[in-house]
Amino acid sequence: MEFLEREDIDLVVTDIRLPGIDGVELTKRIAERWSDVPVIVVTGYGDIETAVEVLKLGASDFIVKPFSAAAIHESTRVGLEKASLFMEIRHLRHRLKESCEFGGMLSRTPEMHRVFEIIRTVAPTDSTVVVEGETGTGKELVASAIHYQSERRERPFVTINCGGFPEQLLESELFGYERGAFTGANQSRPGKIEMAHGGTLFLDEIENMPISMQVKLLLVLNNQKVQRLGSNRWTRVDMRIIAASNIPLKDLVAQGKMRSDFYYRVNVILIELIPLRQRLDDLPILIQDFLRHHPVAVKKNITGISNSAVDHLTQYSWPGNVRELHNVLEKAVILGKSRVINVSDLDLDFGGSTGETNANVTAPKGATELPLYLWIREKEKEYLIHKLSAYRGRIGLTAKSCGMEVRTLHRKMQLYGLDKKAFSKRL
Amino acid sequence: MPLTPHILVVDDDVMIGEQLERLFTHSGYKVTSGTSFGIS
Repeated sequence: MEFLEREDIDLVVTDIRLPGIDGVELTKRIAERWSDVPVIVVTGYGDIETAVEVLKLGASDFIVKPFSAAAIHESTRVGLEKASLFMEIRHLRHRLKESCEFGGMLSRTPEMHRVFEIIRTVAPTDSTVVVEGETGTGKELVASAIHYQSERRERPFVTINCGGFPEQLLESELFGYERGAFTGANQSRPGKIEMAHGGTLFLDEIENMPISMQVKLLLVLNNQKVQRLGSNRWTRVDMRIIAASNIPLKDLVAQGKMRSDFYYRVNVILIELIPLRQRLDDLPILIQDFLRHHPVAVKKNITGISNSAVDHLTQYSWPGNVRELHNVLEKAVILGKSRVINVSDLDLDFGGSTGETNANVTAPKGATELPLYLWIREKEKEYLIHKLSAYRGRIGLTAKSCGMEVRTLHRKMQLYGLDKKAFSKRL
Repeated sequence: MPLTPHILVVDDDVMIGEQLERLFTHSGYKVTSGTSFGIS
């Protein structure tokens, strides 16, 4: 079934007697999952009862052996003709996916396509890469895409979450240890660095790596040798480093949380991932892709989402990015009752906390009357009006000043009904 | 660009599978064939 999932098959011709799964079961499964794919069943003489059974299950035709080429041709032609519309849709979807998909990431936005291009360019090199982006933006997917497009793809891709361990445990995880190196070290164990030899070491959440560990890792990177805890022996390592952070590394340096020598050693190629709220145009393809692959959506035959539900999703700020979108969709497909996701199926926390818990903070003007997202939109509109006025409606300059892409500014202006001509007159 | 239909042929009789594959390929279809549903 994975083959049918992976490939765009337009018609299946199958014998009825097969080892493992037989033609009857195969027809049943295909009819359930890919009802638009015609199945022609080839049967032996005297197998007519089974042939009738497969027709009832959804096979488009059956042919009795020995068959003539003309019979096969005619049956195929009829089957494909009936399914031609579905076939066209399937091929278009495939082409669309090919143009939007890269290493498990889907996007139509030029910003993400630039990221795909950087990945293609840097993958064959051994350069150290830093991936910066908010939580849930797909930093590990980027790291994995780089590894699997590189010459190191046959060797290990080793991941360590630098925020997942206390300092001493992180050290033993990274460097490994010899038996007796510390209490509880009953046997020797290689660290992640050694395990990544020949491949790639992905340091996730590097913002949480203690300064002392940065010094030790820097030594490994400079010397390309590692020493297990409790050992005097150095082992040569050849690995590529990819690091990911939720916080820009230069901010960590400014805050004294990252050594500048370590920063300059790792920050060779920087890939910045934009948050989902800046690529809302991608929502439809992300949603469709989720529905096509999530087992519950497939089982319940949930194939679409209403326009109002998409509008609702575009109004949300997505602090958890694509990961949060997947969670919201998963809940919707599990609890949803219809074949289309509706607004009522979406559980979005528009009043979500910003992390501010001080009860003495004065509510901003008008904030108590409006839901948070509407208040934010009002403020954003005011901000854009101010900026457009300051730059007399010149889009490029305004976008640069706002720190956003021209395309994003255009979309927001459209959303708020702002016309650049109105600002060019304000002298 | 015209669509080239992709046909999956599954038959544990290798000779029949090959005949079908030739027939479909000759007719301009893209063909993938196997002897069981663990496509070879």
